[in-house]
Formats: sequence, C-alpha cells, structure tokens
Amino acid sequence: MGKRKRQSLQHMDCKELFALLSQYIDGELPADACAELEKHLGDCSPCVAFLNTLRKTAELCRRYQPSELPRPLEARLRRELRAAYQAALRKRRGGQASRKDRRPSH
Amino acid sequence: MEPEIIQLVKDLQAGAPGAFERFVDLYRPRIFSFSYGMCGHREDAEDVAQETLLQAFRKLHTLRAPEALNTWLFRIARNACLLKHRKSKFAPERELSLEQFLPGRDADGAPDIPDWSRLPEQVLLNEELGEQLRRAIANLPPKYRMALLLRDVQGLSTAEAAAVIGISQEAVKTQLHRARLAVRAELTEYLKLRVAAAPA
Repeated sequence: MGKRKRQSLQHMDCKELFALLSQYIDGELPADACAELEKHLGDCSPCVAFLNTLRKTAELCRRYQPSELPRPLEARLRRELRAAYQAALRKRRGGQASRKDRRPSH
Repeated sequence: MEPEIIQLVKDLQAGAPGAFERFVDLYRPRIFSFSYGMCGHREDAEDVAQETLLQAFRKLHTLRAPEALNTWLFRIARNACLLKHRKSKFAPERELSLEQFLPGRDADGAPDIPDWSRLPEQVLLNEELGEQLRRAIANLPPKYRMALLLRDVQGLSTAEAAAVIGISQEAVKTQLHRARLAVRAELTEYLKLRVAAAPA
C-alpha cells in the first residue's frame, strides 16, 4: 500500500474502520490495514464488542437452515433429470467418437 | 474445493455408476436452501431446484473444470430464481448504507453495543433465534440477501460469488458487509435484553 494510504489508515477512527470489519473477519484485509485495525481494537472496547457480534452474526448465518425442507423428489421429476443426464452423456460420447473418427489414420 | 467434490464431478461427466444419484442428493438440498432464501416460498424453491438441475445436466458439457462447479451451478440457480421471481412478500429493493448501522449512544454518550456474542451457546443455538435469523435474512433487500446466501450460507468464495452474480469482488464485499450489519442489527434488537439480564 502507498505511503498516502498508510497515513490515512493511521488516522482512521471507529467510523472508518467500521467499513472494513467484514473483510477483517474474512481474512481479506491487507496486512498493514489489519495491523492498524488491531492496534485500534487494542484500545477500543466498543469496537471489540461490535466486531465480536458481527463475527458471531456471520457464524450464525453459516448455520442457516430454511424453515421448510424440500419434499422428497418425485419419481417423475427424477426420471426427467436422469433423461437429461443420459442425453448429455450420449452427446458427450458421440462427440468423443466423432473426434476419434476425424483423427488421420496412418 | 474438496477433493471428493472434484471426483464426484469427474465421475458425473464420465457416467460412473451412482454419480447421478450422489450429485442430486448432495446438490438438490443446497440449491433448494439458496432458492428458498431468495424466493421465500417452498414450491418456488423446489421448482428452481428442479430447473437448475435440469439445466445443469443439459449443459454438463459447458462445465470445463470440476473446480468451477460452484460458480457454474449457482449461476444457473440464480438465473432460475430471477425467472421465477414473484413480487416479493419480503423487503423490496432498496439501498443499505453503512451510516444506518453505526451504533447509537447511551445516556452517558458512550457507544451502545451490547456484546451478545458472549451469551451461552444454548441461547445462540435455540430455534427461536434461528427464526429471528431467518426473518432478518428474509428482510434483506434481494441483492444483499444474495451476497449473504452465497458467501456465508453456501460458502462460496468472494471470487465465486462475484462470478455468479456478475459483479466485481469489491461489490460483493460491500454487499456482504452491509447484509451482515443489517442481520446483526436485527439480532441485537432481539438479544439485547438477554445481555442486560445476564450475570456480569
């Protein structure tokens, strides 16, 4: 990061760091921005509390389950999928066969 | 991507016995979960899952590398959701700003940030909170909901989510952050009384 950006990070306050918290949680923040953020967190318990609850929010979202589950796949629909799959395999094998046919024989 | 998934895709493309069933059993619930989060309606989500899998099998030849499965499959699912889209009974499209989620201040002027992350696990894992979480996600405007569903719920990387949605990685990061802030705000409203009541 350039010198001007580094100076900007050094003067960051809570509000500026607020925008970077998800990137920090996800490990997507550059090292120098990370270091500045952690320096700020060392001295700012409200930001620590906010970060903790944001991190927990992301963790809870990872456990999200819809309130309804899909019904078991009907036989008719499974047959429809299988037919599409088998057609795709036939097309793939047909394509492979015609590529072999086009190879020059010696 | 896990080696087992890469192998499953190779098996599927090669027509290996059992690959079709394994793929459907693994991905139908995942696509349903994603489309239910977007559509909010079981029948629509089932239709989207069926249409996605149908298109996926028809276009199997377009999946060049097994590692690209997430991007490829969820792009099909996203397009199927958009086609299925009804006038949402949830929040309409609107912008979320960072400013609206900045913490307020208490009577003494200190930031008001109850740290509910420290509540016991049985509180954080109970069904009532699960329902609050579902409601908070459903209340997100669609573009923020999609970023959160792809990144946090389905576990796609930023690059994969950006490719699915067709936006930049920076835009995904911005939308995800605002989505998380909005969900956090709703959970905080629900949990702050428990924080106040918890022993010090």
